[in-house]
Amino acid sequence: MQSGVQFELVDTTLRDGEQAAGVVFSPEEKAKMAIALDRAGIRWIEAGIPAMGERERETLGQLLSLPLNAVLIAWNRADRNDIMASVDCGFSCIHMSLPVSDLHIEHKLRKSREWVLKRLREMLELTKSLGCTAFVGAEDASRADPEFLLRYADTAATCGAERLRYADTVGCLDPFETFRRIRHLTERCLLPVEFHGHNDFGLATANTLSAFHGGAAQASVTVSGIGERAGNASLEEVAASMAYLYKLGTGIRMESLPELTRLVSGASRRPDTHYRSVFTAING
Amino acid sequence: MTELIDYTVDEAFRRSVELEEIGAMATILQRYGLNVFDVYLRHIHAYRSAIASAELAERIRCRVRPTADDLSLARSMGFSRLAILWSNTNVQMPLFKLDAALKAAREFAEEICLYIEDLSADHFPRFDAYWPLVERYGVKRVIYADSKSKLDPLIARSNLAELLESATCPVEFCGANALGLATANSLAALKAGVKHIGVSVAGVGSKGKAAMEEVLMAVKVLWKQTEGPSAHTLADDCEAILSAMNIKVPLDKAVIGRNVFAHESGIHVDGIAKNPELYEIIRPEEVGLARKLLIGKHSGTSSLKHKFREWNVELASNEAVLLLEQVRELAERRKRPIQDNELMELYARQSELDEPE
Repeated sequence: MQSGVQFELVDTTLRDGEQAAGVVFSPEEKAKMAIALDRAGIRWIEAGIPAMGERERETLGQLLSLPLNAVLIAWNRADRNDIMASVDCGFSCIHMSLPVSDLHIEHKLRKSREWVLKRLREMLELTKSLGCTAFVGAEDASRADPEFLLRYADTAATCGAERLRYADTVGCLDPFETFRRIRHLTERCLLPVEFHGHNDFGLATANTLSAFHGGAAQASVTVSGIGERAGNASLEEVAASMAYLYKLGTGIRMESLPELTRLVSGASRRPDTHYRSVFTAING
Repeated sequence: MTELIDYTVDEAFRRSVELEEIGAMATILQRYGLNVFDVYLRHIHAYRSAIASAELAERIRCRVRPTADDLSLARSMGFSRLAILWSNTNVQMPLFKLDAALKAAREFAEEICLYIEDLSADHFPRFDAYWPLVERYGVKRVIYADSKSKLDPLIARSNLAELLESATCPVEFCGANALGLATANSLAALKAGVKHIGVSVAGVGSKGKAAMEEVLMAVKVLWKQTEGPSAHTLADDCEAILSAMNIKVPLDKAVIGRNVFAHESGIHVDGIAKNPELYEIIRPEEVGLARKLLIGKHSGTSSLKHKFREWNVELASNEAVLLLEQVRELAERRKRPIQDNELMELYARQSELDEPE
């Protein structure tokens, strides 16, 4: 256990959370959520994908103009047009994602490992040249060759990225495998590692805690764990576990979480996400 | 071989579900190897007139407090399998009370388990005090109950491994789910070598339990232990059990939710169309669900092309871009995904506009 170490939470309710099939947040709801997240003590908010279109950029522009302490991050594919859209929208924190497993590189991108590294270098150079802070996402890291992941991380560090996101994209890790893999990575990687867990086996929160023990500095979370398929690690569960099990802070004001939970469950029209929240467990 | 102990039936009794329906639930649960139903005496008390004749009674392990009242009630209701509740932090009730309870239980029970709650995570509990009792009264199993949700999986694994080293009888693990860690802690218990795990469907029960379907599928898919029961009707079976208790399955409930194989975002739909393994670790048919590809705010042009290809329409790239813009606008306005007829309508309207005069 790492005493005195803070575990920073990166909330991605507005990005990965809204990507839950069938969920649409209105611009007003997004603004309310950003304000509530900020009030709850979240320092990093992944706000959305500017490349999604003009209306989305308008909404994101409004979020950027809110008086928040939290830093807003734009999510991007490692693609020139995506990144330019984010910068034009007014973002200075750019998250760029590329897949790192051979499965994704071959079957989705139909490219090679070398292409991925080259693309990462180019997009980091572009982002840095625009004066932006760059965060790098490693999609499907949990099914990637760990050696290639290290090369990817090394490239990211060398080209000026400030954070590496380890995405368990399909939720295929258990807490023991998570600990082993994250420790393997954090012992060798120069960048702070952010763990991004999915809940396909109900293990997202547990895996996030194991990642913390393995040396991860940050974790992606969403309110009530809303997200793709069975969702993500839940903000409420991770923050409550850190406080209750380890007496460690995440900077989150627990008393402001119930309001946030209600806000998101209303906006997602999914009152049933309750079973994931420590405040409204399935049996109350 | 691992044995799962059921707490779903316990919750059904607590919710006053009709006995007949509980019997039907039990039949489904047995399909998944859940043959022992742990039920708290006070939850089943109201059913005492009906329970004696029910087939179900034989499979119930009755959970009782270590009091003369509870024990004589359990005896009068005809239970011969008992789990005696004991709080490890019991200050007002010294150990000789447990001794007395075990002695009284021995008089009529064929099988006694010791259900120990309130163990602390950091100081390894003094089980030494319990082993002599286990031997004296022939306790079948000690149940490590993390009823206050104090464990994470790394601690659970090391605590339970240590416990197994000194244990003089088999150990069972049952974790509460206040922090969402019960499934992970149950996997930790299995890693440590524990062979009996307490679960309930969707983790229902007071303070929550490990979700049966999650433990089952994690072991099957993540640990590749394929000898377990078939899960091909798992989602429907769990839904039937929950609906008897008037609980709706959340859309995104891991493993069994109706939307856990639904994809909307452009990148994911594009990936699924190329190879479902890209974004699915369980095959939908493995648990009796179906994949859904939704068109909505997060769709991409390739999602549209894919969708129209299913209708034998080859969408040109510029058409897809224009259509996508309208799809997103409509999805935002309606605040939900776009239905097929709405998509067709948008396409028809767009084609009309493109038509030269």
